Amino acid sequence: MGFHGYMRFHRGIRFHRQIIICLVLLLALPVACMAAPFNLDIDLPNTYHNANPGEDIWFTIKLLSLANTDRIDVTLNYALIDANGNVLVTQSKTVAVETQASFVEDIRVPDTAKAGKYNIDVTLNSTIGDATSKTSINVVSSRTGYQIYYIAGAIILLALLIFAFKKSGPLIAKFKIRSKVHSIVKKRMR
Amino acid sequence: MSSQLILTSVEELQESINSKVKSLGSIIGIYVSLNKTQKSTEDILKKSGVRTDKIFFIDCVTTEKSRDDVLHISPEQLDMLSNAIKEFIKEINGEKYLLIDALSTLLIYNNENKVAKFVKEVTECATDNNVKMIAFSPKTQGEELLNKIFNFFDKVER
Repeated sequence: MGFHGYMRFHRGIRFHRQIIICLVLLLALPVACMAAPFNLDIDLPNTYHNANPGEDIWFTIKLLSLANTDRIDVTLNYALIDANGNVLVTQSKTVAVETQASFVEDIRVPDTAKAGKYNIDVTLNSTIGDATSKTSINVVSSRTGYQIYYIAGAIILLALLIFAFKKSGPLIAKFKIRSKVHSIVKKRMR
Repeated sequence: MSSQLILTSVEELQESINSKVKSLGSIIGIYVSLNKTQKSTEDILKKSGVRTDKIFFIDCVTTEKSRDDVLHISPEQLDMLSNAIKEFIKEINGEKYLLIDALSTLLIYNNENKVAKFVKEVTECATDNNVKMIAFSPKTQGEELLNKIFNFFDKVER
């Protein structure tokens, strides 16, 4: 075999290899789609990575349907779960999806939530399969901060009351005298 | 109406007050008693034949409330005293007089400037409201104060 024959032989091998790879990919894609029909992603803005009890956490759910091109109904379940696995809040929502969608959702951190790490779990249920995704947030106990404000407010209020009382002392005494004089004169002049 | 400061000896002070009150007859009076209790003052006036039913007393000697129709004010509280006098002047209708017995007593509890300020306020109020004002003081007491307050009175009688 000459040089040209050798080259033709190699091109043939490369061509066949490419065909085989394409066939493998074509066969593998539906299998992959069957395994995970949805790509579910939670986008949590930085501002909500740390939250206070009672605060609303806003996040975006990005949903990509890998296996389906028709419009189908999917149910999204959200849960706020503490580090011990206790579910604090659950929410559910059914939406129609074609190939991709994104939703802005919110979940409220309970007023009683203690400081610590919490997960926001999102589970998608549909007729063609399920998907899950999660993100984490830190709940910071703002009670100590609030207490300082309350104490400071109470001190300021007390100081204002003392100031007002001291200032109004002569006014009150003046009013008492006026009232007393009025009653004396009224009684005597009757 | 005029304001008058009467300076007299301690011995003649009460007699002078009695005759002045008598001369005012049935005019309604506001009597500020600074060196005798209201009861004592009223008794003395009654004994000298003065009708006291038309006199309103401000007792600056006793703090105990003996009668409902008597106002008790501490001589240290000049603002209150001034205010009470103004209120009486405002409340009583018709012709009236204000008698202060005796100005120099205020110096026991207050400094001269405070007393002078009080006298100025009261004389101004009396003048503005056509109230005859008569203030008594013993000649021998509080000469410096008397020198400061002479000008506030229309007439000074020695």
